[in-house]
Amino acid sequence: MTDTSQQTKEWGRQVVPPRRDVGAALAALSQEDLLRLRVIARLRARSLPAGSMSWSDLLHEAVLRALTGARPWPPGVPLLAFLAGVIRSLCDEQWRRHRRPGHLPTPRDSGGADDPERACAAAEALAAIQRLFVSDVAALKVITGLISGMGAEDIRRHYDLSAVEYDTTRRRIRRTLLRHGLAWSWP
Amino acid sequence: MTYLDYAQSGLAALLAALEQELVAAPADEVGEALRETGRARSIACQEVRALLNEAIATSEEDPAATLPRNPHTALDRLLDVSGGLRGAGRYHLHAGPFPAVSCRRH
Repeated sequence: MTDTSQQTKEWGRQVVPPRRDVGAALAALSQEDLLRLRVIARLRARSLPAGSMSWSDLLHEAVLRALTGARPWPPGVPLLAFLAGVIRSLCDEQWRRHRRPGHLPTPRDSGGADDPERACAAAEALAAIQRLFVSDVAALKVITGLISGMGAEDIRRHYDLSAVEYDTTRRRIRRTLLRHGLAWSWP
Repeated sequence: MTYLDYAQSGLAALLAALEQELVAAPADEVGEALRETGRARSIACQEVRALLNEAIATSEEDPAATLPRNPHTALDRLLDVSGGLRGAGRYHLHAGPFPAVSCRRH
């Protein structure tokens, strides 16, 4: 969504402690970082099977795995990016556990594309995210481009967005996600 | 590719991009967005901090709280099984005697 050099610069803003002390790094998280974590967990939880883990369960489990070393924090990876990765793999794990016991895995299972329930949940989650931007045409274009796996340049070219339009749209998307991530429920 | 296949891969791509946006968003921009939410901000922040503290306390009381996540992984490490073989066995992860997800204290 951003240029590679810009991404590197932005991700590099987050100081990575030389020692992988997860507890200390968690304690040092700013209020803004706590809220980023919350929004990320809520986004991911939205696509889990019904009755499965809540966003707070997801976040708690991810943090616990990081603290216990069950998921080691790799050097050079910012804590939030690492925890987001743990949350993502927890979601995959939840879907694997959710499948009926007699389910025979296939090579496509790594993507889960043969799981109709997961695919339906994904469609619902996509619709919920798109509803957040129903009144913002430019944001919907960017979201649609991202869903199609397009990069920043492709999205700008495809939807004829200037660099400024694209950047301001991204900012609106972030603000909307943050605001709704604080709300008690998704639309 | 069916619509449902598309939805799943599309969601994966979208969430990855949005997560990256959230992680990389400048702190002042996050703060500005959150100020608009008023009191919800501090409540949400306290909630996340409490969650983290709870996880820290759990890990201090029982450092193996979530371990072993996967008995096969530990066994593989002991036997130095190749990555290829570990990959082939990943579909049996939750057949072991250990719960895959720790229980939160409520």
